[in-house]
Amino acid sequence: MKKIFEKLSEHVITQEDLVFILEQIEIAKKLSFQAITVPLSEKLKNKIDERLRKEIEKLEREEKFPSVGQESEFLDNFKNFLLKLPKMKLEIAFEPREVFILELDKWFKENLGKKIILDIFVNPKIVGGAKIEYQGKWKDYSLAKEIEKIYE
Amino acid sequence: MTQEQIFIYFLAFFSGLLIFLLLLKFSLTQKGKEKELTFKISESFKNALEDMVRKETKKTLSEIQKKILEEFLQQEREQITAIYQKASEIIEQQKKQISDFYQKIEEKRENLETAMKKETEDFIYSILKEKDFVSKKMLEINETLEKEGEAILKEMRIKSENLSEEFSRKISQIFNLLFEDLKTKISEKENEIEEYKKRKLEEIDREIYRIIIEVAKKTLGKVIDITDHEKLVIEALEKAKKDRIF
Repeated sequence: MKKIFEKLSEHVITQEDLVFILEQIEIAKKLSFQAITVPLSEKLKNKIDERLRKEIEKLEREEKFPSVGQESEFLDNFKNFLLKLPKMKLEIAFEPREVFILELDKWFKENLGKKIILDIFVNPKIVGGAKIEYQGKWKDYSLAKEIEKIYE
Repeated sequence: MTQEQIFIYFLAFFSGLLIFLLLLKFSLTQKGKEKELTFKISESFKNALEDMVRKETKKTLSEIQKKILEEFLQQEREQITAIYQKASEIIEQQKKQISDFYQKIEEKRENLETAMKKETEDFIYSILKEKDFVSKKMLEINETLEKEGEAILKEMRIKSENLSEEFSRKISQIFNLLFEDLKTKISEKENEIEEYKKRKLEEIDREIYRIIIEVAKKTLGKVIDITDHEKLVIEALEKAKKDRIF
């Protein structure tokens, strides 16, 4: 089940992605109680993000998706999985590109061996580098700090 | 003559007439008794006698009236004359008194005028006399004042010169004291200014550094391209990993 959730949450990298997918899950949950005989992926057509809908459809085809009646429980578990993912506050000096966000996601998976939800905050005053806050720990790795050190 | 007197005269007259008639009747009665003895008085004689008596009475009465009236008028005239004379006398007397009174008033007025004139003349004379005296006195006072004024001025000049000297001396002393105090204060202030200058220069230096840092941050932030930014972020993550933030 964990692997399924990891697959479904592959594109959830930032805090905004997380909020968005939680809203999608709520919509899917509501629709799961309607037309029981119709597969959920069918019911979700044009209702949620197509990328997520296709993942569900794929799981249904591979018969990895739970049977009728257990869809809601599955979605609740997925929601709980997402909410338990560790979060990191990252303050950077520029507006990150999509590619860079994917690169960050990849870096965390490779270096920490786990998925992390990034709460990115853009602040040009830090000049470059980043300020990092993770599970109560905070550190300033910005260029602004380095410049100030030079003049002190 | 009063009415009362006239009435008394009338009463006396009628009383006399009545007595006369009674005597006449008595005499006639006596004569009748004698005549009865001798002769009887005829009726015609009796009537003629009565007419005669009536006429005589009337005539007498008229005369008495006339006489009384004349007497009355005479008395009245005399009285009026006496009263007029008396009144004339009183008027004359009053006139004389008034004339005397006026004469006295006139005399008094003249006396008063004379006295006032004399008083006025005396007063004017005294004033003229006083004026001369006052003028003389004023001249004396003026002279005295001039003399005294000159003396005061002289004294004041001397005193002011003394005061001026004293004042200059005091001022000089105060000035020296102030100058010494000022010198000390200037020295203190110079030190304070020096300190302040030093402090301010340090503040300015800090401010310059702050500005340089801000400028460096801004310019450097703009100069760094997106790839370098991304590299710097990855480097930061690497450092964080090394620092065991994760």
